[in-house]
Amino acid sequence: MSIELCRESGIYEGGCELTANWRVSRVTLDRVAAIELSVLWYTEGKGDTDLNVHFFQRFEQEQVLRSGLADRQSLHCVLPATPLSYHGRLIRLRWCVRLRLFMANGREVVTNQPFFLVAPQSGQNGTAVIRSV
Amino acid sequence: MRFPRPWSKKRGKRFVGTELRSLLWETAFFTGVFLVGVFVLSLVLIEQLATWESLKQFKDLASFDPSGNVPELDGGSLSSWIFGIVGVAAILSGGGGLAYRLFRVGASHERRSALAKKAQAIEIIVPGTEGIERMPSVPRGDFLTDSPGERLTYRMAAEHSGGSDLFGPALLALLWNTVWFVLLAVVVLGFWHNQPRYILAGLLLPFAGIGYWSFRYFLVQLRKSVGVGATIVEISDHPLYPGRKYRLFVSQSGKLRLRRLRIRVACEEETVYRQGTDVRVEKYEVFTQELCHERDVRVDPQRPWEQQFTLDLPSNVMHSFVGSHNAIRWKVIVTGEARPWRSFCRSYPVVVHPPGLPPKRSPR
Repeated sequence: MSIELCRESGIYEGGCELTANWRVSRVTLDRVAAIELSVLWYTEGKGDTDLNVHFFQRFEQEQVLRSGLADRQSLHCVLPATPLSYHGRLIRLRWCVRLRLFMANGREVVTNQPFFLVAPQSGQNGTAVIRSV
Repeated sequence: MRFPRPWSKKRGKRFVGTELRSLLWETAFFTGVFLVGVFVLSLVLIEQLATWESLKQFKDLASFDPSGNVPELDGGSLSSWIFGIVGVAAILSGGGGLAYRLFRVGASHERRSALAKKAQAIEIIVPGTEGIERMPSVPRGDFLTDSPGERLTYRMAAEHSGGSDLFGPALLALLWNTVWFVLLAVVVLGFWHNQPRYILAGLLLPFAGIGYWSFRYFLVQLRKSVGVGATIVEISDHPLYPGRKYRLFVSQSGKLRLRRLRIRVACEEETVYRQGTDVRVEKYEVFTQELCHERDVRVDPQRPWEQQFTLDLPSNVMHSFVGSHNAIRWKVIVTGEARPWRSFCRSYPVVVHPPGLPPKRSPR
């Protein structure tokens, strides 16, 4: 499974559009039960995990069979203004595009493509909030 | 020493008591009214219900014989009714007055006014989710700006008001002394009806000691909460944006000498996690900016300590964030090491928005 973001740097400003291409390879169609695609943020660190899905799409088996897996698929979504990516002492807030593959035999395969959400115009002037000060 | 003479005209310097003294006296007065009411009502109830002679007539009523004499129901003499009503009135007015007085501890006039206004105008319509969608996971902080300031635009609300610390001691003192007065009524009536209860009368003494201790503890807590005086924090604009400057006004009232007074703005990470069956909270200050650090500060009731500062928020700080288990909170912290009162630390939460967004225009 592969996910490619439209920006190589992986830095997105709040409110801008994210485009990602995804593809599932080396898996036959009849072994796939469903595919879930989501854009989400989650926390890491000492505390219990918080998770919030901003964009979610699920492809059932019929849809997968109809569209096929060989071609690249793409997702578009407008990112929210907050919460921004953050790397603190107790809390780390991460954004990612997550692809979850449900196999017919009950197995699940997950892959994440992380990216950074920064404040508008902070990417240019170098004030992106990624680490705590 | 000059004794007060109420029959003569007041001349010269008038005596004006402090707010703390008036609060203590009012509290003692309302508590006294409440306990006297409990005592009077207990006397009436015990007099009416605890003597079996009065209940015997109900028994006779059950075996009512129309041909016989009709038993008279003694529903209580006029004096019992009067004392009962007086007792209930004293309990209600004492309890109500005490609760009203204690709820006002630790809240400014403006805040109380705003709360009363809010209570009057409770809207049935749920507020729109426009702000939530615009900046998810950022606290809206609308309640932080509902009080206008005197010097600057907004007066900030403290995180914890002093009144909540008093609830436990007040409840203990009231309940214990209520029980004590009920027992006193039982003992007094026992002696009155020549059925003295010596053991109960003996127990009243140690119980009175506990009652005295609990009431004294409550008054000490009240004195500590109020004696430090109100801390007022006002800010020129809200919410805050990184990379901008804001004016901050801080006023400390009361009558105290402070060994040290610190005012700072801090950003705190807060996480909640489970460890076994325990739920733990951990906090860590990731950013702090000290605005003031003064030693030997004197505060008089007539002349509160007041100062204005400039808060320069760096451009690369994280915005406020609230999740289910994690949060990043910004606050203005006023810390004082006081004498003779205990040291205090009061926090005033503020909301920091991410930079680059158009600021919400304030009607003020």
